[in-house]
Amino acid sequence: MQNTPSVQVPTNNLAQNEEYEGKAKIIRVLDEQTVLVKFKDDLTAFDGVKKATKKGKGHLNAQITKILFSYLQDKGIPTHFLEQLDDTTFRARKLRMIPVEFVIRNYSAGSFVRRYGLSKGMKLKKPILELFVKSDALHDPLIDPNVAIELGFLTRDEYEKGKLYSYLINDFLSQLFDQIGLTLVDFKLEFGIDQEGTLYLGDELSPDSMRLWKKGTQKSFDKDVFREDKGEVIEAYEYVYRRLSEINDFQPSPPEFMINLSIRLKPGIVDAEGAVVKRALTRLGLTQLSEARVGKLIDLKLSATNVLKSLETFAVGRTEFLINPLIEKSEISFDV
Amino acid sequence: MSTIGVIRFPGTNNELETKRSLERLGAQAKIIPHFKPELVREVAALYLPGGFSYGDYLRPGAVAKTTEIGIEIVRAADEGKPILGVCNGFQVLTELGLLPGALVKNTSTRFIAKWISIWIERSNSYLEDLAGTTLSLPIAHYSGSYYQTKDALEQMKQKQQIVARYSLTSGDVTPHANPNGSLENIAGIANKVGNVIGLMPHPERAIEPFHRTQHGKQIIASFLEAIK
Repeated sequence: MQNTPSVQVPTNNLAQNEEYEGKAKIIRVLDEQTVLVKFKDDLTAFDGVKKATKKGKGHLNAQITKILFSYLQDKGIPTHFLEQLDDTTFRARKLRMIPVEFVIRNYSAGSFVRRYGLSKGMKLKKPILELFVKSDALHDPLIDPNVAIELGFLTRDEYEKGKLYSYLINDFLSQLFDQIGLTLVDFKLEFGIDQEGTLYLGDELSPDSMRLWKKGTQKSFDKDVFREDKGEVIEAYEYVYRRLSEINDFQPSPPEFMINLSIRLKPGIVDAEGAVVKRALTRLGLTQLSEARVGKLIDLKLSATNVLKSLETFAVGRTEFLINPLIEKSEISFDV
Repeated sequence: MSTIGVIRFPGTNNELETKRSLERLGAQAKIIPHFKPELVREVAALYLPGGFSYGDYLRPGAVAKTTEIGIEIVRAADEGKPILGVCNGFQVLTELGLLPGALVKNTSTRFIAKWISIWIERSNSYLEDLAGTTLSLPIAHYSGSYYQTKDALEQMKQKQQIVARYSLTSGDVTPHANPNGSLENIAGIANKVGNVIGLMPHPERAIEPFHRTQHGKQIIASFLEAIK
């Protein structure tokens, strides 16, 4: 069995000044920490089978991405966006991209409908997160999170944080689009890691990477207009951009999220409580029991007014107070 | 003579006998409740008595480190004031980061309350003058098993930070004399400078004529000596 992932992200191995041209963007490495992201006018669909060039599309997606990334950054979601350079270009943090796409769905649409034989436009009880391998050659297959972790595409911590950010971004964006009469049906996110190991939202957030329907209808304001030949795609993108740029300092109501911390004594530390539990269970007939260890669970509920700040403060509180790193280890999971 | 502050957290329950034992040896002592952290600056030394500060929630001594008085105790230690933490006071000092290592649950899985003997080691601390003596003192704890990594323990030995070990009445340090599973029978340690000591046995409970021994007097006398 091979241990290295068969899926490589081409932008991860670029040297300085080297360029990579993708389907919709060009990435050029500026230095160790930063890249230049240029949005192209090209549109592709069905893994690059359907192609077109629409003048002005690169500009619109660059602007929409900038608006949405700035909005999310203000809520404490770390994104790679640093500054706009011109109409179609911005400077961004250089990241090692995770070769897995995070997709959140609020309504049934697209491949989700085909895969499970559903009708389009069904509101899901809860937003659903799906992971896909980022590979045109493999047609972006759906992947189970545990498999993605086992194959080394991402770590469990990266998955947990990516999941948290995905659900919170969904909440923030849904509220924002609601302001301009659009429903956020589903969207795709890509995350990457900088040199310090911090997880950032990368790539773009535009009608190329999400489905937007006019509220109460299934009228598309996204790439489906192009995919399904439903009209002039540039007009749809222009509409989204115009309406978004009209919004002034919208403050969404912050969603709540849970941090679940499980604490265990390190191996080798005598667990007196575990020893008593073991003896008790043995008395009850569980004679095959070779060891019992007792840990702790701490559940914290937080308001996502500034996600990053909360997570950073929590990280300090965890190692300085919630656990004693000399004798204990811990695992974190998140829930929204 | 200068005053000794006896720190009382919510859940501390040894502060009265501690204050009285200090006074028995001629010292002035006052109880400093956790909500008056500013009083820590007015005293010459600190005694952190036993009990169950903050209900032992999370880990014994852990919550104390998030308090203002916790910060003041660290400041006092940095200023070089003599500090003695006994039982839960010892646990608080490790959680505050003033003493290395951790105190985990007794390997016997039981709360232990009994008289034990300790052998006083040569150390860099204010108990150095008692080195080579064996003292009989009571212990009463559930989490008194001292734990430290191998490398860190070596460093502590090099700096002479081991103050006391559980022993037989003869002073021999044997596994049999270890009541709680402490690493190498450790019953008390000091910080690198030697002004902060943590002890699991209770000197303040071996003072009065009706106590089984009065060996606690020697420890408290050395503590008082350090203030002068």
